[in-house]
Amino acid sequence: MEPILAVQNLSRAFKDFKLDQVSLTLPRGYIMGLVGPNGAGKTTTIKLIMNLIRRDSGDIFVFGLDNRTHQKEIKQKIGFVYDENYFYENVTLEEMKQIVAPFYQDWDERLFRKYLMDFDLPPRKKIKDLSRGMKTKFSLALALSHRAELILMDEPTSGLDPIFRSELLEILQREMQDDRKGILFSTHITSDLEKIADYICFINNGQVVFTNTWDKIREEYLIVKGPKELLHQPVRDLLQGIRENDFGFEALTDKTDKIKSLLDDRAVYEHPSLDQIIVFTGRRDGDVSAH
Amino acid sequence: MFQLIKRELILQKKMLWFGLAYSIFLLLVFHNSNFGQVAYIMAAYAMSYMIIIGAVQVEHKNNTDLVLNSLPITRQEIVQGKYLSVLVFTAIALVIVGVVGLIFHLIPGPFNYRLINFYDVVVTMIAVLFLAGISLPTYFKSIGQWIQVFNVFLFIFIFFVPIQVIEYTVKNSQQPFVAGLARLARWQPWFLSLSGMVVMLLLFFISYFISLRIYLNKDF
Repeated sequence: MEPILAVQNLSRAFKDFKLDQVSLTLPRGYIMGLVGPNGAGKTTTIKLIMNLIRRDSGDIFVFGLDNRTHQKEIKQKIGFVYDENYFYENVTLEEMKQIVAPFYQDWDERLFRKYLMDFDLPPRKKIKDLSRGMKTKFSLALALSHRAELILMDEPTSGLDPIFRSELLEILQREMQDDRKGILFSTHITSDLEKIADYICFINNGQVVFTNTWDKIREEYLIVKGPKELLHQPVRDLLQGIRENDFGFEALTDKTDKIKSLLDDRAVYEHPSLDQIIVFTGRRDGDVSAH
Repeated sequence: MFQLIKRELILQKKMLWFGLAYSIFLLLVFHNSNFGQVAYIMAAYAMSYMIIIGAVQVEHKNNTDLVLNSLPITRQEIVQGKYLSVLVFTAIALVIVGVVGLIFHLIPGPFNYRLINFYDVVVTMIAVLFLAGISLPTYFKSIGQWIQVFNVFLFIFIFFVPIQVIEYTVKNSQQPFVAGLARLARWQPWFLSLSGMVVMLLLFFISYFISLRIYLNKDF
């Protein structure tokens, strides 16, 4: 089956930042987490998918269609939730719905009312009077009420309390019971993704460091810990983000078979969390010993 | 396109009420003064300005371009909607001002103001098209806060042009150029106003294409 989203060699240079040859593929029925530190290129990627900024090169296909030539058709089936509130502050939720709904052919008023009830959102309240969490819920209600197949979310959980974050993840999991749908979810809160993401795409400095299923990534990587004497050059060449201290070292590797054959049981191996993979991949090797 | 205009009406409905109150105030104040001849124009023009520029400023303030461009609509349609809404809001302002004038006309009392006429409509359209034609590309370009100050000055300049023109014409009626225009106005009563309208429509179209070019190349 055609992927719901395919990004191929996407590049865009700004004055002080470059998104460089980003590629990712999201099949239908899955959630992909787009992770990376602040300023890594997550929002730029999402904006390019939404055609909000121009690209220098590359292709984006949503539902198998080019996102520039079939823009209107594609956006009928995309739900979006952004990191900030970009709605009119002085209008009520009802009025904002009146502004947004007529643009969608498949707007489902009953579904929207249901989401307002479920999310405890008063229709007559002004947007400026909503809390951060309520604004995100309202964005989500709008995004889910026009039968969107692809949901793009840019840092929807940042700045939200754990209870609401958990609620949001449950809602997304519920949505994914329909296997025609797909969700691309950018965040730097990796614990959220570990709960719900099927695929992970890690972006750093505008480049994709890895993109794969979360299960494969977990299998591919190992945290290696051991005494410093083991750190001779052939071992170092297989490790990333080596941290050394007075007692030994710890590092990440994706060359698991090679490192195990070199170090066998002289080292300790652990499966890393997503957070650890990102931290070790993103940092430079260094000595952190106390002097 | 209709959705875009409806959106602006939702956003500016308070301004419509304010415009109604403002036009009542202007007609009451000016019905018997030097401004009496142009009170309809001034009221309709000021009301159009408040609604049109108010809508643009609301969008600017809330950075709503991001949401608008995420909806199933093209950038070309967004620009077209904005320019079309100028015409719609001007028409609404003229209707409101005209109805207020009609009510004053019908109610017996001291405010027996004349009815709105075609000349009022044409001159208001000329003024609004000129203002919007210059202002809208600056908003699409998002030049900066100072542009709001520039637009206020532009508004005031256009606001007082009709009365200045009338005063100048009265004072300099013997001058060959003014006399020539007066003869032309008598000979072909609609020629001057319709010429002005054509020129402003041309400016409005040029302005649309400039705005479109700016908006198509914009990053959000």
